[in-house]
Amino acid sequence: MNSCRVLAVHASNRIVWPSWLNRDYMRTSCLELLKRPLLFPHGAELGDVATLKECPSEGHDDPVLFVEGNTMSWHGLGKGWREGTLKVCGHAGDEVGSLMLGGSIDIEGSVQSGAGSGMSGGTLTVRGSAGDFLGGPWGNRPWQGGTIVAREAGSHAGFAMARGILIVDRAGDSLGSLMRAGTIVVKEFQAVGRGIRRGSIVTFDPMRPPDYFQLSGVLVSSYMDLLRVALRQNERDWLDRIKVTQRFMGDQDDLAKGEFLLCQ
Amino acid sequence: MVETFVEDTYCEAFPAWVSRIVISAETIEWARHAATSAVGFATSVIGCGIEAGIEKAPVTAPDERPAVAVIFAGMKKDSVAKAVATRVGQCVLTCATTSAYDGHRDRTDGITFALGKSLRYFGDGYQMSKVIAGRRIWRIPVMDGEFVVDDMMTVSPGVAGGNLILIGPRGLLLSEVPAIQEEMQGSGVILPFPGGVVRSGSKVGSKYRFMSASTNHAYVPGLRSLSDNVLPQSYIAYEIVVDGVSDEAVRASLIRGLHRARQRIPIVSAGNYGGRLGPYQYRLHDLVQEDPA
Repeated sequence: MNSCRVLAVHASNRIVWPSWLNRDYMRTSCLELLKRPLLFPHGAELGDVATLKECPSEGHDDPVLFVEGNTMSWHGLGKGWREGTLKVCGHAGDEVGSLMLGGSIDIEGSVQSGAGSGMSGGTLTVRGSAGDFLGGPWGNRPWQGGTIVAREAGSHAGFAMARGILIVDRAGDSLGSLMRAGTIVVKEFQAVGRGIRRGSIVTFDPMRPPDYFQLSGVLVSSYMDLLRVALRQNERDWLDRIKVTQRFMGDQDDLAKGEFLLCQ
Repeated sequence: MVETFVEDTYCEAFPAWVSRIVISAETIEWARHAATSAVGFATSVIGCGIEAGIEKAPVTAPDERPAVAVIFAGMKKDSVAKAVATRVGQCVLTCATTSAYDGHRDRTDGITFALGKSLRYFGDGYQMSKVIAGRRIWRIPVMDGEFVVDDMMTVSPGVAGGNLILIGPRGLLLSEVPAIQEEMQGSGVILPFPGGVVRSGSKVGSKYRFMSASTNHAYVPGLRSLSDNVLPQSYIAYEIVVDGVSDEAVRASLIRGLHRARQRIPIVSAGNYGGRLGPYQYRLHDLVQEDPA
């Protein structure tokens, strides 16, 4: 069995990872890691809730950390993740991948609120549903880069985002509220948020955009081709059909450059 | 097959800074229009300040639309950057449906310069930037939609001035030279002169002090009476100049051209300046030994 390494596991005030992992065990192999007691704040050992495993790494150049089991009470899992892959077979708790810098986090199940908040690089994939404020800010620090892919998002997805790409099949209300930049690609949503200063919401939802958007005409640009090529590996068939037919812009809350791109 | 005399000499090329721009458009015709316009008046650094041409090889654009690549070569990176910014701004931005991307993003030895970053002001505040797959692009609103351009372009070390001199009867050369220059075209190289061929081959210096280059009288049929003229009776000469993104690209082009020339051209030579011009010296007898494939 190939050994794999933990390259970046950060601690927070509620996290299960003991802080010594940050400093002294950044490159500890999984086998060594498993010998150590990983305690939850309430005293349960990691094995009670989830199991750390070595991942078969055939075909993977990057090291992989494999977590099996539901970790709903595990807050801030993969916080500050910067390299390699963290794969979780199960559900996860709040603030998964917050302040992430690089690498990738792949959640087989669902996550609670605040996933990817304040991240600035890497890819966070949630195969189930995500809670509210997906890709939101971490304190005053907005989402600053990277990609988040989720099947479903709650309300306020992409809240105040400053960069990055959010791809969701379905989103709740207040989508992209107070967006400053970046791109949200969504198939369906409940309602667009207000105060979109800049940034793009690309959608297939035929729902009429809110009144405060003005029709600006059909967009002829290679930008959507560029976006489609970049998104191709995201296992979403509908992304292949991105071709903007109408463009709306001019959020009257702000009279800024936020845009709403409608595809067919 | 004729018996070709390949002169025991070498072609001398010099270090240059090169930039490769990928131009995509809705149709290949529009991309070619933009590219043709952008590489105009750029045959020689001596008079144009820049050498440019269209790379004749299949190109994949980041947006996967029909595309062509153009290569700019110059002595100084600043002059290349300035020429690219001016030419993309005036010839590509203005052309219907086009976009412009950095064709050397993968080069680690390059230096970046602002392109979209400076062209964006044409958007008068309505421009937008996006970061997609790690590349920052600018979307500049124009009358048919948007012009998409990379924020930064790369200028990298390359090679310019690789050359072959083909000598033979006038009729033969005029019929054969197009095929030879076509053979020399390929990935990573351009032939900056009209039709890939130059008839006014030059030597360094002149009897006039204000001229840095003048006609290469050794190959001028009208000056056979001069003692250092080397043209046989009834022969003329054409030169093919090649610039490339790397030493290997230029070398491969010269090999292809030399092997093609040996099929029909009586004499093949090359221009050099006694080793004073540049460090890249391609000996014709060495090139002949190499496999063109």
